[in-house]
Amino acid sequence: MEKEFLQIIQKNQGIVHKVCSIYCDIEEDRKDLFQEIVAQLWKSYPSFRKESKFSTWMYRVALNTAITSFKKNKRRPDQKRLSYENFQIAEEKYDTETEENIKLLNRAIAQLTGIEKSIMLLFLENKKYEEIADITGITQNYVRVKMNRIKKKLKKLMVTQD
Amino acid sequence: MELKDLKNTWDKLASNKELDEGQIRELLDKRTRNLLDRIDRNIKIGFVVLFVLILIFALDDFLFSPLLIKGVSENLTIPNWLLFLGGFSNALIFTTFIYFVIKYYRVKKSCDITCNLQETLMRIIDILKIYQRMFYLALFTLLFAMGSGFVSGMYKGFLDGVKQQGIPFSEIQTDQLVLAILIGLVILIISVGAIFIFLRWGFRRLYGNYIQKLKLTLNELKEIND
Repeated sequence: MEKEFLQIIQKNQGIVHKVCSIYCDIEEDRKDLFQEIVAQLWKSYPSFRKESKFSTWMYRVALNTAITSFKKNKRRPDQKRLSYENFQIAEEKYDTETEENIKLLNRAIAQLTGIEKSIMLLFLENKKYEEIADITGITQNYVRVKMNRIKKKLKKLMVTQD
Repeated sequence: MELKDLKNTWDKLASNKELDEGQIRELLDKRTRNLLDRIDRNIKIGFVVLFVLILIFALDDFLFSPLLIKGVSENLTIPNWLLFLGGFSNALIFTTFIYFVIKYYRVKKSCDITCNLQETLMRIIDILKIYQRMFYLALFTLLFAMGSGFVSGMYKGFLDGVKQQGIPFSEIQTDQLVLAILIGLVILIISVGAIFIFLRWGFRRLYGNYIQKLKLTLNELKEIND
């Protein structure tokens, strides 16, 4: 089972990386969260009944872990808040416009609350309202309402930052 | 920048941190306990500690103390009410702890990290509340045991002292008696109060903000119903 789990995690690790990126602005925190999510996935893997898609299940565990993670607000002196460059997970070189957009995206997401971040992440990942509702435990209508509010909030933020 | 551009930008963000199977296995091997694992462990340790403590208290009440008192003086005995008080507090601690443990495992079984976000939040808040109540129960029991032990010890010591010296109760000066009681009370209140404040501060520092954060998140998730 371990082999199967490792293979499936390796294949879908992008989900965990994205969740960590959206919730942590410190590299050290990001590593810790990644490890905690993988540990929770491994712990819960035997109970995965394949009733839902693996990615839905993975998002659920990853977001639950990220939102409920218990962090002591200690900052080591050598740790600095990550700038937008660090948010750019890939080491690819982007054109100036994309760089600017990444910067803007990071700033906008940083302004969101924990719940808003998870809904936003699922929206950016092209998840349907039904799946977002399934992951978060709120109704589809509420997801719509919440999404509209987030969009308005983001638009406002982006106008200010532009 | 429009919202659709946000999506395009997001899609361009690909992870370069591709870990291989070996690295993921290493992460799993090195994993540390998270908060809920630690609470779970603490409750299990608490259970063992509780049994040991109750055993020690019972042995102390019914075996060690009578032997010690017998060694000091043949005429001295532990009053029945003091034995009853000891037995009653042990039974109270035991039953309430069992009650909390049953509640804890019931909540724990209700769902796990694979439930949806709302259920997970409610479950963790419930677990932390039970843990908090157990903590306060243990704290109050400890302080009650300290307080009652102190008061009964003072009272018994005073009575025996008076008896041994053969002084009639009426000859004891009221102001001296009041002063002794007051000093005893002040010492008791200061020590019990200090322990309570210190331990409550520690608990709040550890879990208070976390519970608050989770409650806020849950409220945000439920706000549409308001």
